[in-house]
Amino acid sequence: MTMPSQPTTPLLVRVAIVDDHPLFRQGLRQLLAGDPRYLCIGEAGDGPAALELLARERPEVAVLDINLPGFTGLEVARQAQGLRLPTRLVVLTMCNDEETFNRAMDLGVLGYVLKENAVAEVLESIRSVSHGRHYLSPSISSFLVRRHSRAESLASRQPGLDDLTKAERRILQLIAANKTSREIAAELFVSPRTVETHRANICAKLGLRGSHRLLQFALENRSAL
Amino acid sequence: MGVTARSSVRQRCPRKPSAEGVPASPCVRPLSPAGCAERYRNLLEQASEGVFITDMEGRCLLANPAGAQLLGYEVEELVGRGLLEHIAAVSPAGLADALRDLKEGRTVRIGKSFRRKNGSEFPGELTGRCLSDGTVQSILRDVTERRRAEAAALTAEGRLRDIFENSPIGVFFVCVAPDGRFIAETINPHGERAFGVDRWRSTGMAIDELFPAERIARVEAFFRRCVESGAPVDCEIEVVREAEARLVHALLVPLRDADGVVRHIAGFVHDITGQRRAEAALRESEERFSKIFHASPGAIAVSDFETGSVLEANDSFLRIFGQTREQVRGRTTVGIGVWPDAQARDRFLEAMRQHGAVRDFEMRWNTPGGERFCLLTAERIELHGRACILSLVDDVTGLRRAESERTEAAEREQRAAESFTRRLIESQEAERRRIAGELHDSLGQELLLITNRLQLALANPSLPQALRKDFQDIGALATQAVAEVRRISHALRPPQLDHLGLTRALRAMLDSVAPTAGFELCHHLDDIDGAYPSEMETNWYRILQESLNNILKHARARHVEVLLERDIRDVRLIVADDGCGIPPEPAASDGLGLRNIAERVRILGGRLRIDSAPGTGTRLEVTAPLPAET
Repeated sequence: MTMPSQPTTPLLVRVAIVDDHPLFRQGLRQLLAGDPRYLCIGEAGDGPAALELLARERPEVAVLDINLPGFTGLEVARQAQGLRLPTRLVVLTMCNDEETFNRAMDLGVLGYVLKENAVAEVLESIRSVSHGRHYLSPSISSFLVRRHSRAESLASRQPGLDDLTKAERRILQLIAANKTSREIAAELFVSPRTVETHRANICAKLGLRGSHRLLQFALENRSAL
Repeated sequence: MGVTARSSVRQRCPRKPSAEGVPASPCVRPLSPAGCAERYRNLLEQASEGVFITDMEGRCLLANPAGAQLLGYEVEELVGRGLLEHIAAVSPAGLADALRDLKEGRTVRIGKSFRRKNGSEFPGELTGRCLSDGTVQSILRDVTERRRAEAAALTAEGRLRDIFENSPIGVFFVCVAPDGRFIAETINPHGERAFGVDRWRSTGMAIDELFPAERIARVEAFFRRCVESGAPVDCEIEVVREAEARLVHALLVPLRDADGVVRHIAGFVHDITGQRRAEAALRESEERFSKIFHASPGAIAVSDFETGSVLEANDSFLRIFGQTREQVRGRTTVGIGVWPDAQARDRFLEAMRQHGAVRDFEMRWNTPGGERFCLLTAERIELHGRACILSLVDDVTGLRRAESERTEAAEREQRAAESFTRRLIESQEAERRRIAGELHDSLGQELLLITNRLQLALANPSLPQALRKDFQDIGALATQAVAEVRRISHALRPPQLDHLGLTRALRAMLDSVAPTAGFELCHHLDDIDGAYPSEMETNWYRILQESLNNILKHARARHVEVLLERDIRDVRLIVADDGCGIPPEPAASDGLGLRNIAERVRILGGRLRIDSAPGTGTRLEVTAPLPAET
């Protein structure tokens, strides 16, 4: 993760607010206005508008609801990641389930605040993330502990056959039998395009580049297929 | 001698010409004595009978060549020989009688066996007569042929009589009297029975006395026609016998005399009453069957086994195949469209050859009025020694149509019901989604505003202490309310489905269940995101949710396994537990849960399979096809 230049921190932190609820945005604005460290540089009420705002203003921090019209806050986060924006994200949401939390973390979100704690926590979370630190609402901090242990086990293991769907394993089996995409398509009664899609997905999941590596992997794992 | 012989011959000639076998014509005119002697000698020389002149003791004085030959001698050899010793097996008494008769001037005839010189014998007839000079003139004739003919005639007559008496055909003879009446001469026993007459009583009676008055004219007409035409007449005569009307067939044959005049009629008769009755019965039966055949509502046809040409077809058959009787005549079943082609008939024939019969052979073909269905039942039969097929065709087009209409209606109904259920479920989902959104976005947000406003107020140091406590309580209540709204909203519509995609939403569900479930939960979920449109994804979510609910509520399981596989063309979900299994009669509410699963499986176009037995757990398997590639 690229660290923003340290000298800007004493200055105003530019913050964008993304929430579909006007009253909620208003409350947040008031909160930010009451703190001289932060400047609200704009608001957005749906996914596309938010992305457009972030791309245009490139704020240091964005407070992001997940439940948005158009597309979700998580999608905004994913696309923002793709645009390599400098913005650090605080998710401010009603969602308190682990899967959503993990997904947000996967997308590089640093702050995760539940809305019922907004007033008490949002300024603190903005401060934390603007310094590149995580901030989580206390009630979900246990998720992070579990996530760490899971991340360790994930890191200790290579992506492998378990990550593939049954269809993908079947395709891999046929690749190991040295069949072309066309032959595989004929054998499975699907279009060659479908086979190509499966191959691409397999490569993506296993981090393989090129058909040679794919064939090599298929041959190495033939007995397990 | 010569003279007496001459005169004797001359005397006898006109009287008994054939009896003595002497030609009559030389005697027609008187001749001179010299001519007479000459003639007489010639006669003797050429006569076919043996002529001998003997003395009274039978010694031969003279013999003609025929006589010598008869006894196997030369003429000269015979003179002086005793003739009597050539008569075989004649008694002395018989000879004595003959001699006495000769002496008294009577003609003696001896029909005996005669012995030849070589000892062989032949049947002969010797006629002797004493001449005026005391010599005996004998004529010997070989009667072998005549005897044979007589014996034959006797045998033939006996046979004819036997035939006449025992013939199974009645035979009678009628004499044609000069006055034109017909007189019964004789009739054999079979004839008696046929006519009901008595042979002895009827003989000599005119036939008009034998037949009742009302029928005699007809009968006599037949006889008369026979006489007049001189040709056989075939006729049928009605008779009453033992108060029963009988019909007798008669063949009247004219018999002509030497002048060619019909003097007699031979009749050959037999009773044909039974035959006629049988014929009538047969005719009636044939007519009856013919009527049944043609009027039968079932379509019947008879066709030749080998060629397939139609021999008979009834009206129903013609109607089914849209043919007239004329169109069908001489054509084959293939020709009139019973079979679409010769191969179809060959297949049918093959079945006939194998089984000898065919039951409910299905036939279908297209007509201008639409497709028709018939069931063919056929039997192999012999007609006049010809292999034929008797076919019964049952037109079930109407039945089939009604049936298929019923099926279609049922299918339409089924489809309508399914589409209604699907719409119901979809609208239910949409409604839930809407309400969840409303709760979450309006009520939830309002409550969040309250909690946050309270937090703001609490952050104000100038807030009086008394209010602070109240505000904290209100805040706690509001936070509870938020949690409640979240719970309700999530139950209505899991937000993960929209935020994270189906696979993660399923995983989130499992993760949320696992800590408090009371069983060990293992799962492997293939990534199925993007496999289904989002409104279809909900069904997978609900299926897994409902299955887990069932396990949580009833199964008392210790281990649960969830497997979601994405294969090439389908997706399979397996949820297996080691709990108590589904009871045979699940409670109504649980049945609803299973029904909900079943409905959603059907919407996915998949198959649901539930294996369960009390005590061995439950295994639920859903396999649904992936939507076709676009």
